[in-house]
Amino acid sequence: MTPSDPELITRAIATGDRAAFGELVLRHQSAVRLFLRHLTRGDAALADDLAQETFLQAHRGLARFRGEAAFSTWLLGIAHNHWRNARRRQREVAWEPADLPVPAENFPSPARAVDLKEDLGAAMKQLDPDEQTALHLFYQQGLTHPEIAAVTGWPLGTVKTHLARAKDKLRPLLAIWNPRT
Amino acid sequence: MIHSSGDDRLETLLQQKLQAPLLADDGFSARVLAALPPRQNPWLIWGRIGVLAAAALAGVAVALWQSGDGIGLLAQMNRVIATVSNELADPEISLAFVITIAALALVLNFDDEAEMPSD
Repeated sequence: MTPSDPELITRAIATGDRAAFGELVLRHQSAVRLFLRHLTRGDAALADDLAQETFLQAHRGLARFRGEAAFSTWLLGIAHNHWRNARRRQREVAWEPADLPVPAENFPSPARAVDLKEDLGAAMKQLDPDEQTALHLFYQQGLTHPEIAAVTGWPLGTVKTHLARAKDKLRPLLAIWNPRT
Repeated sequence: MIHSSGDDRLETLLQQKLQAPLLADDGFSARVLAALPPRQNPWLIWGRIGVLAAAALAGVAVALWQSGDGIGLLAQMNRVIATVSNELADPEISLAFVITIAALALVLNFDDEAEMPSD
């Protein structure tokens, strides 16, 4: 039988079982790396560096994990903190204009017959970074509102506001994909 | 258009199209395991504790030997403790002492705590 996350964590703490920790990394690497790729706007190398730091930090602090949240939520919280610190350091060096959202007049693009996924991607770029993160955590990572609040450190009300605003903005941007119109 | 009646449609669309693909490990887990700090040998830890204890005992023995008897040493220690207590009775020195200890504790713990969310 496959051991659960809490069982692997117990083994990793009690006996320093590296194989148990390795199994945890294997299980959660995809979610953590995807989240960091989202936060770093697709910079896979930076995302993987931050993901590695996230797991090393988790290994050091494993004994402090109380099991009140899912292990994946805890990991995503560490990842978010690492990204925030990295961004702070980056801001001290340079501001990246590539982070600016795409101008509204460039969207939508039915004439170019782009695929829905592309339009959704372009629509997502119209959102504030925090709204994008809320959508990512809710739809891509499948987290609940309280879990998103735990990962990002936002109040629960802010999480709901970001999601509602994101959907309000997406609705007109994706209007062409509604078959009823 | 996707209106309020079409909220379900938008919801379905987001659920379907924003589904996260699984990223292949591609050696990532192995790299993390390789970067873990080396496991501490328990004998090494006990060895360090033993050396510290032996050094402390040696220090006490030297102090006893220097003072000639234990009573003289105790009296000297009492004088030192009294001097330090008098200094700490000054509120400004106490405040400076507390600030220094708090700053040290903060600096020593800052890195780990800053990255670690509560679960």
